[in-house]
Amino acid sequence: MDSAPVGSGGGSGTGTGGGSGVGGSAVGTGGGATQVVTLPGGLQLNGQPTYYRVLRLSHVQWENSVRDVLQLPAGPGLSGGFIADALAGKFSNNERALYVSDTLWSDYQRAAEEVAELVTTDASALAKLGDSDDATGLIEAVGERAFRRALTTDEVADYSALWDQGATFYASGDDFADGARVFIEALLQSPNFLYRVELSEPGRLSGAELATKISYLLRDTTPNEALLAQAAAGDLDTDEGLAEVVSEMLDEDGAVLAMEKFHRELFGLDRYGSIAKSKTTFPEYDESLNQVFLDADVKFFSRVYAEDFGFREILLSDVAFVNAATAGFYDLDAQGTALTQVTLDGSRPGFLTRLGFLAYNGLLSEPDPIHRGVDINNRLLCARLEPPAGEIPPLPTPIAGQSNRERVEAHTGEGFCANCHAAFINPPGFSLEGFDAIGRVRTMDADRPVDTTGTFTMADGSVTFQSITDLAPQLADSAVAHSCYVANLTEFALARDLGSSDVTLLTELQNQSQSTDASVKAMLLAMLQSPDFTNVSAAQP
Amino acid sequence: MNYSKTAVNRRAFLYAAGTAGVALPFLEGMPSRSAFAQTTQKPGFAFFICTAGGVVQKWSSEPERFWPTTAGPLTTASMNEFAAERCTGLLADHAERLLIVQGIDYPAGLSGCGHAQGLAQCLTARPSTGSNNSATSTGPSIDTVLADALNPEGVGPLAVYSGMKLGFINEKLSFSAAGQVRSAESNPYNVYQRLTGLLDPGTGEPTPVGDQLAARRNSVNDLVRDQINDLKANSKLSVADRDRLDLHFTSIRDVENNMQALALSCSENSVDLSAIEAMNSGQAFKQNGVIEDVARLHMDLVGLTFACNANRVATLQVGDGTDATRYTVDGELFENFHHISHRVASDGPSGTAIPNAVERHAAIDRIRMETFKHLLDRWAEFDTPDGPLLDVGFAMWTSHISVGPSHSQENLPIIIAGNPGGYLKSGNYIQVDHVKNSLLYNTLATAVGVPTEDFGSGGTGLLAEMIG
Repeated sequence: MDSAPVGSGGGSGTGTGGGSGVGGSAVGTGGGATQVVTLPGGLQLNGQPTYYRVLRLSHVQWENSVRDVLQLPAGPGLSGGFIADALAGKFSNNERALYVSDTLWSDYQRAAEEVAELVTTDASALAKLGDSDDATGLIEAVGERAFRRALTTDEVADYSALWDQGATFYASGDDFADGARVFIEALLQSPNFLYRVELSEPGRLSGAELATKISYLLRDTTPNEALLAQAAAGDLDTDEGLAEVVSEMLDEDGAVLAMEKFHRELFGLDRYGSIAKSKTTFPEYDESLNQVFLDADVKFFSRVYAEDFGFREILLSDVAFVNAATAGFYDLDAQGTALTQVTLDGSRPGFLTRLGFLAYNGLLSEPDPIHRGVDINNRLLCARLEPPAGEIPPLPTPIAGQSNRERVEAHTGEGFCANCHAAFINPPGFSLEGFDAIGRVRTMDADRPVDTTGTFTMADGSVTFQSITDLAPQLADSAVAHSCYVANLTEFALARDLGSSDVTLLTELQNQSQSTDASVKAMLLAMLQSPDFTNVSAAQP
Repeated sequence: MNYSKTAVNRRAFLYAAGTAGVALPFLEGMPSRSAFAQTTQKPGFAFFICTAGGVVQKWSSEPERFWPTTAGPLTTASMNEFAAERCTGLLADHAERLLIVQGIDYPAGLSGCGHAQGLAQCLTARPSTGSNNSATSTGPSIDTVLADALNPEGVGPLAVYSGMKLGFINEKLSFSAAGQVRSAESNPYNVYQRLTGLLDPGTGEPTPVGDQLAARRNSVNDLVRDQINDLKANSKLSVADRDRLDLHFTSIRDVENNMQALALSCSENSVDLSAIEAMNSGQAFKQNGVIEDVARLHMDLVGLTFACNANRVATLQVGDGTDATRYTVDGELFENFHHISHRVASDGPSGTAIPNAVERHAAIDRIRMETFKHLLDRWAEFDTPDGPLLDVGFAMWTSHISVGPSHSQENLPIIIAGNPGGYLKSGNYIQVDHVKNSLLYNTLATAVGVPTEDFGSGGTGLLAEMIG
């Protein structure tokens, strides 16, 4: 998605993986045509949703599902060894990325065998799954948890036949355990376990399918018996019933974790591992702080969600999380390594003035207004800033008496560079010149007050500001910023690119966010009741 | 209940699916493939290594620290003469096995993020598409084409990765088709486990356990295949859904084929299992500063994979476009390598200048060249059923851009080690004038028994200067 007027982008995006594959295989890619639609504030969506009906579990979901299907006290710890999925969209859960390659199949196979051995060679673990004189009962019970539906008669018969071969395969002397072992191996390699399968007629998903979809989004695991029972009772068949069920789930830790993952990926928090600072300029810095910066921002976003805040809080919050190592950067005191919540003064509105963002987008010793500006454009406004063609000359060495801003302006302020830098990139970056390369407040640069003023052109108009303290509220009121956030939230929740079919939902969410300051939780609740989430369409040609 | 992976068993041996009757080394299965009827070259092995950040070579005011001093034959003595200043000299011990090629360009020049563009062109020899870090390929990479010709049907190339994945670009070297990047494995432990997934931790001989394993997997696979077919038959699924399930179906067959293709001989080639286990412990392979250690283990494992005939084609991506590795040189912890390659303390083009950045980059180049020398040292010990690995296969070393600050897509560093079938003009440093990498890959493909004239979009034909 792009906010069209910024940079040279705004047209039809090719994105990654747009074509069909070799030899008739289109695996791992969409293949759907690019759909360009416009949201309030001028944000253009140009995704390529495929609307898969077979959606492979993520590795974390595999881990959690094995735990719950086999009623283990913890996940088996094997999915960390699975080959990681390559990036195929803005978020790691994008439907295009989730397929089974030969390498992953080998991983699934080996893991299924190891888990089956683990469970069936532990009498107490096996006993949890069923009575030792009732193989069929065990197949039906465990199979239903794995498939998120009752097994068919044929499926039970197939697994029973395989079970009977267990004693031949293993010959341990315990025919029941041997049968269970090969059954579990096969169950965990079944496409009905490895994929969320949606086979409802076009329209609303079945209760079980909706329960599954909701559970994997908000709990990252297979639906539990209670949720499946609610689905069987018809509680998910109406929007009202679904809202009642989901409202409770949205308050669970699982939902907080899901939104933590969303914000980590949206704002690139995991990039903090590469932060580096000059030991001369910042003698109190060492690389261990990178993790503290990350943890603090994770807590920041978790609080936004858990305490029912909306998008504005991300930009305007006066809350930060500090420990003894980082409090000093905020001119505060704190004890110990644990992060504690503190309230900052009005000069530090929101995420953009927290240490992680400022330090990541900072050079070794100097602030980096260019990349602060780029991040604001890309991640908050969904702009697409195209790097210029050809060689990009580096910033020159500072001239004596020249401020950081003057150096950047002299370097980017004329000619081709100015097309993007003067209007889009530099201004929001300059608004943060009151913070040094690690995020401390600074008032002077080159022996004179820092200049944090500017005019910033966004897709929905220009804003003039004195510093981030009055730019942040204007960003928080910007239509395109709200469009960008709700589009990202929806893309994550639907686990696919957005397309023209999503415009009604997105427009409504954008209005809720901008006009009523709706909480992230409330917007999720609305989203989960929308046809975009609850329905499937007819098979794509 | 606590559970952790079983440690690698030091007495482990392959037993080829436990069913010696169906074990079929690739080399015995290849001659019937039509591709080989057209060439005198025997099917060989191909390994492509792509590092990050370019090398220090003559550019702008920067000095030459990479290429040999004089075009023509390479000898150990001649390479030692420039080894102190130019990193390729560090390979002097293997001079007769080297073909160093200067003057190779990508099909398209720089426009935007040179890193993603370079990676997407590096092995595809086609201009990339898309913007910034989303730039992707417009065709399959050469490893895919070679795997299609050299491996049993459906067995793709092995793709491995060393270095951190910070989520900006990650792997983007091997493409199964336009825009379809192949996942690359970062953990050497997993590569080893997949290769030796049929290990008998006991005697090393085929045992009844092996037969049971094969029979059990066949039964499970049959049931899974039936379930996939049942799903595919559902009319509510789209073409994309069916394609996805087809890949799953094919993947099962690929793994079965791999099992059948494993040869017993590879067990004689050892790898450093202690180092592999250490890198797996606590996921140490993801840590900053171990990129070269992981690369060396991957090089060993690719050699083992080739010796086992488990695959004939592999790629190794060493860092992505924004490789944040911090190298330690002579006890000094250097800045982020991506920043050093830019000469400024930034992932972007602007930032505070890093003192001595050029010489720091040159020092890192020397470390990377020592890593490549490790491959040559180790591969010299590997045998395949057709002969020494370096006589039947090659490893190509390059970088996804040629020069750090400019991100240039021209004059890429190309070193080819090994001489399959004596086809290449090894023992030489050659210079060509702005030749697209299509011709490079046409020639290398032909060298490993896959006659090719028109790979990529950068021109047709062979690069005669490379042929011995």
